Amino acid sequence: MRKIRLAASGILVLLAVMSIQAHPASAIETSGIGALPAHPRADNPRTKSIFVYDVTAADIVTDGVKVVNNTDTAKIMAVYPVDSQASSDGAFACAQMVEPKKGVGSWIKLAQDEVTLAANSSQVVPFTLTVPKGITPGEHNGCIVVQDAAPATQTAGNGIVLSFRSALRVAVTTPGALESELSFVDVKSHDINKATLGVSPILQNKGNVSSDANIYIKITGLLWLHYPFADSGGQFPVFPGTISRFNFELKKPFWGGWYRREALATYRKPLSSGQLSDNVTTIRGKTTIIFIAPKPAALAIEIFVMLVLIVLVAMLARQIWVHHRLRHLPTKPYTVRKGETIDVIGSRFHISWRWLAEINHIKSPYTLHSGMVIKVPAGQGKPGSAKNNPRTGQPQGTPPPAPK
Amino acid sequence: MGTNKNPGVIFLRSILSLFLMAVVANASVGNAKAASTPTFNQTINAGVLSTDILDASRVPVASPSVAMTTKSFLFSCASGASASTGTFGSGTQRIYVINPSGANNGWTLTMAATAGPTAVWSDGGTNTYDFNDATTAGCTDGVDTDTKAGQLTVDPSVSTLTTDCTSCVATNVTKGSSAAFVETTTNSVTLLSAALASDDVWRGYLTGVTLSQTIPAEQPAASYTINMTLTATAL
Repeated sequence: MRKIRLAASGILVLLAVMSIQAHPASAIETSGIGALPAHPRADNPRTKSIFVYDVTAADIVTDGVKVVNNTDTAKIMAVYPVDSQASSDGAFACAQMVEPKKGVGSWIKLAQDEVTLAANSSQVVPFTLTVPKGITPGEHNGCIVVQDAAPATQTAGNGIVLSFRSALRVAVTTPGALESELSFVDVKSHDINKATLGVSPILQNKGNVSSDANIYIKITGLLWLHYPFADSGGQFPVFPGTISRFNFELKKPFWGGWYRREALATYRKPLSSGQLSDNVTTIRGKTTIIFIAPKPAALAIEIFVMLVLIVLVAMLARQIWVHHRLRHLPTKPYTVRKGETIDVIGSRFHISWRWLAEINHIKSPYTLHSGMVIKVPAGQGKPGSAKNNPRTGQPQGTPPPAPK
Repeated sequence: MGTNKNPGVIFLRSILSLFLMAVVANASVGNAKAASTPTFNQTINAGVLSTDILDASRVPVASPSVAMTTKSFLFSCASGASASTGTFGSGTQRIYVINPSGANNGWTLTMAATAGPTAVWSDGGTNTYDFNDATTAGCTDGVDTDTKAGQLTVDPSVSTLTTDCTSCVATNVTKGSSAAFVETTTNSVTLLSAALASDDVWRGYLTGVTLSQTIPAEQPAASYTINMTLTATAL
């Protein structure tokens, strides 16, 4: 009986553990509400995500937007067209529902402006796009937007009350002289934090159609064998008539120092609607030398190495200077007396015994013999005037221990 | 146990027998069906690009909002370091972008006033101030359509971008620069831009977008709100 109770308790504990472990998997996987083109074209993969039309003035296009509710609750969703607008950094954005429509937003007429969708369901809303007469050649952009029709609510207090929406770009290109003329306006660098450097190329499109520009950023060390420490970039659209800024984040080099910053972009110019030139056009931004501060650990190492180098150079310079000075010092012959050692003679003439050894080519153990003639500084000291050996403190004449 | 000769009982027994035969027959038919190739239908809806404020368990936050620091009444304009500030996106209120292959050519996440460039901060009554007047950094009413001063600056460049999927990366997704709303010039601020080469299946979130609102001089004391809309746009 006791065994059965134990087994039952074990099973209960196991079930409890399993229920705890299973809990994270029950986290909600929100996918939200949004839209897709209802009838993507096989000849243009982009039409799986957005609406792309190559049309002429006065054309009327019939299409549909698939409104999707991928949440677990039924939704009433507003669907509406708006004009596009340039956001900060020249990015693509869609105007708000209340803003007056003057461009592509006014060309689109949806069959419904509100859709009620059950959980995890979708519905196609047909629409027509009527291109006005006398439209200028080039690319015209707008949006079809989907959002929860329920108004945003505020909890309490001051602040920003938020709403959310999902939009699809509607790109309409009308034939004529199509141009895409990209140029670099500037390239900026700034510290984001201790580890990250921000590099922002700024491009302008003076044409009338957008271009997908491949943008490259390269930072090359000047003092460290010119190794490239960071490359970044990507393919971003540059919309007609906009100045677009792209913010890349690069990992800062450990050592810091002076670096060459280069930026270039490649793109293909349009030939006609939907057709791009095979030739790739390359444009370059201004190459600039920038200083990147080293990381703290690198700075400490660099300061230490610098100090060691300074000390070594100073010692070497002093050595050279002393040698130069002593080599050009006038000398006179001196006869070693009995019992005199090299350091006794050096102190007598106020000169290092090492110098005496060097200019007289005396090798270790630096033994002098009575009667030996050596060179000593001219006009310094007097023979027999030294009272004590400055090195040993012993009276003169006491032989020093052999220098090691 | 004798045999019941009652006609009613005999009728009921006959009905019961027929019912049992039908059940047996159905069961055998059912077995025969089970032996054939079964058809299972499963529909997975197409993924769509979307944005929302979710908590750490990816549950949508009900009525998300961004609180701004409270300021006392001032005779002078509160701008720069003394402006009202706030942080958009936190550990419990993450600014999510979810792209389950709904936008394969790149996308943007932008922020704009729901009421458009003529929107104002309002206490619900007559007291208002502007969010997009650039004159003297928002301290003076400029030549815009309203007669209010005030300017909101959004800085996503200092925020943290975190990916939240098994295999996607933040490469080719860039944060926007610091930008102030300016009527007609900057009606929308870019928080994120995804390049053409960004992962088609991508999920990630922003935290720590800083906000700074210039409060005009002698603005009446009240609680002010403004409605803003986050838009995820497929390019």
